[in-house]
Amino acid sequence: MMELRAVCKSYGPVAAVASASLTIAPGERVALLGPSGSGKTTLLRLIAGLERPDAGEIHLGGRLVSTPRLLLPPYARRIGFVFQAPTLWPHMTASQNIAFGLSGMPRAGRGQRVDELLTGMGLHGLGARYPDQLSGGEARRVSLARALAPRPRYLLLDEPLTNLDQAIKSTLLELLAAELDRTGATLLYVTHDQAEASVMAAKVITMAQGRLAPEPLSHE
Amino acid sequence: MATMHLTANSRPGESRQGQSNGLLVRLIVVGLGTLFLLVAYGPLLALMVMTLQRLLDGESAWWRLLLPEARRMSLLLRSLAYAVSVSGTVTILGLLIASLLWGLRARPWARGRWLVLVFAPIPPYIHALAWRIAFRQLALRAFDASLTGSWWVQSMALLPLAVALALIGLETVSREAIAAACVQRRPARVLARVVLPLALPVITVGAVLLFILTLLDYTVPSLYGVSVYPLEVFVEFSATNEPVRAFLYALPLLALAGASVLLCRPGLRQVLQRGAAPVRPDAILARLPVWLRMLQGGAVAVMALQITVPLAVLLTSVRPWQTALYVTAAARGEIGHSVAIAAAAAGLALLPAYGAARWLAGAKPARDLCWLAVVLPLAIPPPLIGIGLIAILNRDLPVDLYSTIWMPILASLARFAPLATMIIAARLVRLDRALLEAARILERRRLVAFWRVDLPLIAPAVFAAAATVFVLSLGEVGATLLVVPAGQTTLAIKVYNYLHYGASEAVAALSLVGVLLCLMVGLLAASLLARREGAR
Repeated sequence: MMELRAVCKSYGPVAAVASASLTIAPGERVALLGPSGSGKTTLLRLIAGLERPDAGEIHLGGRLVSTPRLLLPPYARRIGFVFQAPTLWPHMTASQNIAFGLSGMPRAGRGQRVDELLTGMGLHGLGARYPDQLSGGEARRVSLARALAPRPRYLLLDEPLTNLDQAIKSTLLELLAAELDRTGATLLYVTHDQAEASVMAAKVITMAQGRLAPEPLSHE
Repeated sequence: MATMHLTANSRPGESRQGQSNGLLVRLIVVGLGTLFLLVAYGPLLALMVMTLQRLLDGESAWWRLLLPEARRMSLLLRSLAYAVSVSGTVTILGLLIASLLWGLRARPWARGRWLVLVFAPIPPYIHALAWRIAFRQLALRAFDASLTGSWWVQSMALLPLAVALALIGLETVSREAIAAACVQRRPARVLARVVLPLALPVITVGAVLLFILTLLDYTVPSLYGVSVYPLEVFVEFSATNEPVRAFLYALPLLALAGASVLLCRPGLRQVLQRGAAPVRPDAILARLPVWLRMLQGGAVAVMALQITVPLAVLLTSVRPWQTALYVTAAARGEIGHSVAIAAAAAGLALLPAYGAARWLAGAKPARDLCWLAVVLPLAIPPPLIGIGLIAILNRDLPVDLYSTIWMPILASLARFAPLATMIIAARLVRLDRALLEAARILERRRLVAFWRVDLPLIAPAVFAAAATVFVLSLGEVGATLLVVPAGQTTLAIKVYNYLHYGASEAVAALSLVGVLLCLMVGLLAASLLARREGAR
């Protein structure tokens, strides 16, 4: 269960997130829709523990993880995060990027998991390449694989398919859906593309000027 | 739309004027770039030509000077070890302190982290004086007049610069790269596996710069009775008055410094890419392991010593104040010369530096090579610049510059114009080209566009470049010592010469004047930097 209770975050006089409350059931897939500058990215960063809220509480799996005074470190939240840009570390190969979060796993298991993700994402044979040797679509897939590698309980995706052509988008959406079916992770998917939102999520929440819409739209 | 409209309405005469405008600008840039090459490489080139002539004249004795004999070799090795140990020490200390300052970014007083730069321009010989007094008062015989003392003082003098360089390195790492790692691994691992490797090229540039500054400096070692290789070059020229001998003596030093510049090629490119978006690394730095926090605390304690000891020692040594005021009044000529030389060098450096920076920012196929051409003059030993200027200008010329105040101005230009170029080029490379192109579309007179758009956009870098050349010229001794005309001595040279006869309240008072001048400019530069960041 992911739960936000009256979470606020401001940058100077600008209220990026204003009293946001939200509950997402385990395994649920929710899309967060809204125009640029509406506070979607800040909301994801708050859930990930990359920002501290000014007010309110965030609970993950029934555990209190963020308040203005308490901040569970991001690595301890079992979260996978995909940013708007691929943000691959340029000094590591694709495989090393994917394996970064697998420190608790034995070496053999780690290699197996990396191979599994490379194959699953259609990146077979590209593991030894550095980010500058990958195309835009390949880099996005590596970034997605990196987030999925440690089998996170919560997957936060921040417009992960922006600026990609339709064919690559469809492939990645299929791959993502398959991985979520396998792991049962909870998904919060930020986008401003209505079509993408309806493909990925059962529930769509809209956000504008830092506020979440009171009633989520359901596809079911 | 605007472009199409203007193009549709432009007349042939206007098009020709636009072309000649463009050509004029290109000619100016090429002219200023050439001036930079002359200023920065002129003294060295003159010495190379003289040396080649001598060698080709068949004077075989000169060939033997190319290979250092046992004594010079041991001096070279000592200088190398000394420079490695100083640059290693300050790089590590600088990194520890910078990692702490870097974490202050999210807090309201974060802008104050650049105040560390205020202490960077204080010349090393002033640290040498202050620490010598402190060592004697504390009866630390091992540090007084020894290699250890020289190592400590040189490290203290370079520490603020090391912190600033490490801070620039850490700030090149993108916020997203850190955030992506933070959600998967512990802070210490994020620091070790992501932040440090990504910042490493820039940190290497910093370490190499500190290495070169130490390797080429003879002022601090000479005050601590330690003989180093650059001093040997100076002594050789003073003893023989033979520029070619001095040049051949300096060649191993030049090769070492030049090779180390070549090492930092990848980092030079990255220095330009310092992230425009502010990084908030508090997510990792708030939870660092205790042992690392203790090391950071220790480094900050050393930094506190670096700041307080020179100020406290100088302030307590200049009593009675009447004497200090009398000494300062008596040295007003030297203070005036110092300020005049530094101001002239700062103003004159801007033109060639801007030309070379434009050339550098626009160079695409051979950008690395162009960067090396700009950075390599930093590897020229300061005495060689002075000797080169003497070789060029101590002859019958239509305009007599020798024995005039132009000699120290030219020496400062040769030493610090490359730094000014790097500062302006870094700004030019990061400028949004669209801003400049919009001005070209709307204003056909290139000079007006330059004045109203280009210049305001690069103004902070131009000011930073001028301030850097000014403060470094104020404390310059290595090159100017050989070329300063009689009766026009600078404050730095007066203090340096006095120091050889021991510390006194007169030296302390003059040093305090030097410190105050440097602090004023440093404070102005740091506050401008902080204000600019506040506006971002």
